Amino acid sequence: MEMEAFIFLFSLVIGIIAPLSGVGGGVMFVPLLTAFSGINVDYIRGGGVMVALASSLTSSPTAIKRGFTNLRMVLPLILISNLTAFGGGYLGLYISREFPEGKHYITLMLGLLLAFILFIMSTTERVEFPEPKGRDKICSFFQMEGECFEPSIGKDIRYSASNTTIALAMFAFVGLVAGMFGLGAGWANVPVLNLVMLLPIRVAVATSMLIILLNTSIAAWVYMAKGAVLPEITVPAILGMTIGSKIGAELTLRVSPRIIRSAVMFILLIAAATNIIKGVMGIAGIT
Amino acid sequence: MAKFLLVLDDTERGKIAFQKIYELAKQGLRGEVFLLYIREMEIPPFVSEEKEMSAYHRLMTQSIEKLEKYKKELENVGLVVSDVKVAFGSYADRILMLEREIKPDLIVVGLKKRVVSRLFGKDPCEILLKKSRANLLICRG
Repeated sequence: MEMEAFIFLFSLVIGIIAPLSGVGGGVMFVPLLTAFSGINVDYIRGGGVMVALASSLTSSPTAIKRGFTNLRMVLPLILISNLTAFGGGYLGLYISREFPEGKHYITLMLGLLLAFILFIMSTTERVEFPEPKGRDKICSFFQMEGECFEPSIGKDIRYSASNTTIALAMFAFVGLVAGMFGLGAGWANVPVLNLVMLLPIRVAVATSMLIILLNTSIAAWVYMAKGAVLPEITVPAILGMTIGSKIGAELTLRVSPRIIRSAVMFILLIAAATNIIKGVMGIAGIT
Repeated sequence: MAKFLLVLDDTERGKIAFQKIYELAKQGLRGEVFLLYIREMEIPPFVSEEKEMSAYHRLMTQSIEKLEKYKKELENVGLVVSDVKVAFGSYADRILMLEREIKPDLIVVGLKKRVVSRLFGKDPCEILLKKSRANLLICRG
């Protein structure tokens, strides 16, 4: 019961700070729980996939209703990334179960990946309303465009996807990594959608949520089929994250994001270092 | 008459920018000032439109009150405040958007260095230096 209570409170806190910091809850859950708890990394990744799925499932309908994204926008992207997320799910579990030190390698890679994510987040700048380029063939074929009301400027904005070929290649890689580590992939989706496909930032965040929803629903099957989804972890985590994200969303209307974002990234930096150290010590046989 | 865009917000950097232009006006600087008050926000797309609009309304009322105070002080030292605007969103982006609209001769912003913020991300002034076409006065705190 203690573990369930700990996971609930842990997820509640992550749920609150995730919308405030702009760092996705899915990307915080797995590395932080791996770094600061003794739970097996496979079960944490299984829980992470379910948490990312539940978060995007509760948030996507409002984003679609408000016109910030639509299914036409994500269709070509998920066709590619679903396949790689499926492969990633199998690959992650294969490494940790087939090799004697597999779980330590996964922990080490998780730490290195988190350090890379932090690097991306601190070096890329978000652009609220990027200037779109001309529509390419994929964009025209799938009609990857939309229109929504942007309350912060008080008018409707039109958006359409640019550079879709490059973006597709990037999404293939992102799907693989997200499936392999049970992470939400907002950290990579949002910069690609915003800076490569030149979508407004809120459209990018909404589209990323929809991609995560569709990708993690595939990866979740792999983790469930392999017995890596434990109710003791998943249920309190989803409850905590759902309640927390409601509170967090309310707070975004009152609190400035900059300082919180920096604080969260500092915590993630510590988690990255802890995972790297844990992984290296595990591989070297030092416990 | 020279047109200045003075950028204010609810942090120390807004106060620094205001203080600088206030001192310069006391020393004889004259011109037309456009006051931009930015409330940095990053509202996730899953917040309902009603809640978002109601938050903007509340913050707009608070910000206008602050702006009126700043406006009076600037007018008392001889500057002409031509317009005031409140914007919600990213600091650098909102300045660049307004710059394209009003084409100021000089943009006045404050700079307050925070160690943690500097570690994880660019300061908005760096983005302005790269993307703005106007003259910039970055006032250090």
